[in-house]
Amino acid sequence: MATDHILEVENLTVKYGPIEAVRGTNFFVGNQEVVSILGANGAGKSSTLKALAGLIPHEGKITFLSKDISRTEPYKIPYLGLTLCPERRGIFPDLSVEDNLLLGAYAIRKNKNLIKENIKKVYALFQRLGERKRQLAGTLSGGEQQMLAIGRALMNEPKLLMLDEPSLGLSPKLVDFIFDSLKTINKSGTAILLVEQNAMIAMEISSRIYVMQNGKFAISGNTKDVDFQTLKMKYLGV
Amino acid sequence: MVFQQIIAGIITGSLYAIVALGLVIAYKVTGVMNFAYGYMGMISAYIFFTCFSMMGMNYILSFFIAVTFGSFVGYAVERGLLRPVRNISPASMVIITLGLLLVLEGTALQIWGNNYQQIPNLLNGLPFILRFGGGIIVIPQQNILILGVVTAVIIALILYLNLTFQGKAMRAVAQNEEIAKLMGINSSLMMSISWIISGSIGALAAILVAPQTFVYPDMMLSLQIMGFTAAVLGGFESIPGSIIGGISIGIIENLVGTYISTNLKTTFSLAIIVAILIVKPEGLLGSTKARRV
Amino acid sequence: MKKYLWFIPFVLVPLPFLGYPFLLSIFVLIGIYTIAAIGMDVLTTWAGQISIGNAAFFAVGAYTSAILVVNFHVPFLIAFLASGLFAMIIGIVVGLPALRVSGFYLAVVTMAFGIAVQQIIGVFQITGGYNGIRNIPVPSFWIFKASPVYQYYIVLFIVFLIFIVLSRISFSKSGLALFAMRDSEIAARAFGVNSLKYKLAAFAASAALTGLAGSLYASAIGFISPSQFDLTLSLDLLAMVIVGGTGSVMGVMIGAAFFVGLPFLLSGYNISITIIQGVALIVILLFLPKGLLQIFKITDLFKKKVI
Repeated sequence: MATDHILEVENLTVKYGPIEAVRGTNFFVGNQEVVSILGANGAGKSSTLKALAGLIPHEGKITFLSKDISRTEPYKIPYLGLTLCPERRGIFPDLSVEDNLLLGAYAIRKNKNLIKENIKKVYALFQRLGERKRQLAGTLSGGEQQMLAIGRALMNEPKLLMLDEPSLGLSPKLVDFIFDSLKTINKSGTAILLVEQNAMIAMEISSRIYVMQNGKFAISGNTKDVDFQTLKMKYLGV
Repeated sequence: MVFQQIIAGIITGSLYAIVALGLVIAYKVTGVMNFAYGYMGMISAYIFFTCFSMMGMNYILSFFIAVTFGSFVGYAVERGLLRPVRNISPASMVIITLGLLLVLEGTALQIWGNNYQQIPNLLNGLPFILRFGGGIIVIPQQNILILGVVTAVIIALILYLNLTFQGKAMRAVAQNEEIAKLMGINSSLMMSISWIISGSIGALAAILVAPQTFVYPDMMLSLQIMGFTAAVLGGFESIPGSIIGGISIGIIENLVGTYISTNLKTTFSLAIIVAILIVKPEGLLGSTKARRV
Repeated sequence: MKKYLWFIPFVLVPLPFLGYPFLLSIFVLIGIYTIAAIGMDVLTTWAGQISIGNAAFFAVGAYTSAILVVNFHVPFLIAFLASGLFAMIIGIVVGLPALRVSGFYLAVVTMAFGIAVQQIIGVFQITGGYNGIRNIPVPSFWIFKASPVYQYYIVLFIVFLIFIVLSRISFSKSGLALFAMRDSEIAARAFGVNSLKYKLAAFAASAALTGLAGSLYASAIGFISPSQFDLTLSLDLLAMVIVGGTGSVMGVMIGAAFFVGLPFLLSGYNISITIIQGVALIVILLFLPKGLLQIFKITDLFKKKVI
C-alpha cells in the first residue's frame, strides 16, 4: 500500500436489510488531496461516508493512516484525525455556537490551549460565527449553520475532513463562499473527502473524482481528464 | 399564615423538583420515561435504614453508602435492563419500567417486610422562627437541611451541564446521539452517567423524605407521581421547567391543603395541573417541537 | 358460529369442583378480572394507549354498585348496569382532557387520576371513608341461591356477551377505523377518521367494562375499601393483558388466571408474588410478544397486537 495514501478503502459494502447501498467500492485519498464522490441522490454517497465514520454496519477494509479502522467504534474515530461533517449540518441546536465548537474539540479536550487557538482559527475563517458565539446554534441561518458544522469539524485538527453535501440548500453565493473556505482549509494541510450532488462546484476544488451510480463507481479519475458535459448527462441525471 | 404555607410549599416542592430533575435527565439522554424511579430510591432508603438503624453506622456514612447504592442501581438498571432493549417501542419501555417497579416493590417486601420503618431527622434542634410585621414563620431545621441539599444538588447539576466539558457532551448526546458520536463522544458512557446521576438523586430524595413518610415499599409513590407531574408541567425536556414545575406544585398543594381540604390536596393539585396542561399542553417551559417519542 | 365453540369447555369447568366452593370463588375472581382486563385491552389493542389508572374505574364500579345495593336496596342487575354507566361517564369526563395527550403523558395523567380517585373515595361519608363498605350482599334471585357456582355462570355469561359484542365491533367499520388510527394517527386523519372521537370511545368502553367488573367484584368479595384499588391493581390489569396476550379474550383470560391464581398457588411459600409478576411482565414483553397465548398456540380471535 502506498504510504502517501492517508485513506485506503477496499471492497466497501453497506447493506440496509436486503438492499445494498454500497457495493464493493475501492478508493483512496492521498495526503493533502481533495477528492470528491459525486452522484445522484441515493447513489450511495452518504452511506459511504457514514460507513467510514463507523456509524453504520459495513463490510470491507478501511485503512486510515496505516491503521485498520474497519471495526473501530464511531466515537473513537475522531481521535485518529478523521472527522465527518454530517449532512444537513447536524449541529446541536440547543447549545451555543461556541459550545458547539468546543464539542468539536472533544477528542482533544485535555489540551485547553490548543482548543483556544483552534477556536480563534475558526472565527478567523468564519467571522460571522465569532459575532454570534453566544447565540444558540438553532437560531443561525442555513449558511451560518453550515459554517458552524465545518468549523466544528475542524476543531480537533483532522488529517482528513469528510464533508457530506456542504452545498445543500444554500444560495449560490454562499456555496461559493463555503467552497472557498474549503480551499483555504485544504491549503493549510487538511485532506478533504467531499460528497456532493453539485458536481460543478465540487470539481472546481477536487484533484480527483469518483462518480457513484447504484452503489458502485461508474467513473473515476483526475478531474481534468473528465468531460463535465458527458458526466452530467450520463451519470448525474441532470 | 399564607407565607408559612408558601415556605412549606417551597420545601415540599423542592423535593418534587429534584425527583422531576432525576426523571428528566435520564429521559433526555436515554429517552426512557422511568416509572420505577421512586421505587429505585425507596430501595436506597432501606439501605440507609439498614446501615443507620440496624447496623448502627453514623448518619453521614449511612447517607453516602445509600446514595452510592442508588447510583449503582441507576447504572445497573440502564446497563442491564434497558440498554439491551433500547429499540423497542416507547409503550413497551413504559411497561418494562412498570415491571421493574413491581420487582423492586416485591424485593423490598421480601427483604424488609411491609412494616413502616422509622428514620430520624438529621437535624432535630429548635425550629427557626422568623418574625416580620405581625406574623411569624416557623421552619424546622430538617426542612432547612432539605432545602439546602436540594439547592446544592440543583446548582451542582446546572453547573455540571453548562460549564463542564462532560456536561456539555451529555447535552449533545441528548440532542443528537449520532452527531455526538462524530465529535468523539462516548454516548454509551454518557447514558450510563446520566442514569448514575438520576439514580443518586432518587436515593437522595428518598432519604430526605423518609423521616416524614417512614420507610416502606410504597413510600415514594406520591413523591414519584408529583415528580412526574412537575416534570410534565415543566415540559419534560427542560431542567428549569422541572424546578419551576416542582416548586409550583408544592406551593399549590400546601395552599389547597390549608384553605380547601387537607384530605383532597393531592386530588385538587392534580386537577389544577391537568387544567394547566389543557391550556398549555406543552407544559410551562416545554417547546412545541416534536417530542422525542 | 365456530368462533364461539371455545366457550363450551368453560361451561363444564365448575362441574368437578362443586364440592370446593373456595376453588370456584377463585374461578369467579378470574372471570371478573378477565372483564376488567378486557377493558384494558380495548384501550391498548384498539386505541394503542396505555392507562395505569384503570383501578379507578374498577373502584367507581365497585362503589356505585355497593352503595346502590347496600344503601338504596336497588336490585343488583340495575346496580350492575348503573356502575358500568357511571364508570363510562367518568371515563368520558376524564378522557376528554386526558386524551389530548398520548403515549406516556397519558400514562402519567391516568396514574394521577388513579391516585386522585383512591383519595376521594377515602374522604367521603357515603363511601365509608378508609374503612370502606362491608357486608355487600351477594345477588340472588330465581332458583339460584347465592352460591359460587351461580356467580361463576353469571360472570361467564357476561364474559361471553362482551366477547360477542367486541368481536362484532372489531370487524365493523368503526373497528377498522380504530385499528387504522392506532397504526397511524396521521394516516387515519387523512382518511377522515376523527381520532379523538375513536380514542374517547375506546377510553369510555374501557372505563365501562372495568366499572362492570368492579360491580361484580364488590358483590363477590362482599367488602371494599380504598386500599384495594391502588396503583398495584392498575398495574396488574395492564400486566394481565401483556402477560396473557393482547387482542384476544382468551389471552386476557390466561393473564387474569396467572395473576389471580398465582398468589393462591404460592401462598404456602415465602416468595413475594410481586417479584414474580414483575419478572413475568418484563420477560414476556421481551421474549413472548404475544404473551402466554403464544405458548398455548392459540390463534388470535381478534386482530393483531399492538405493543
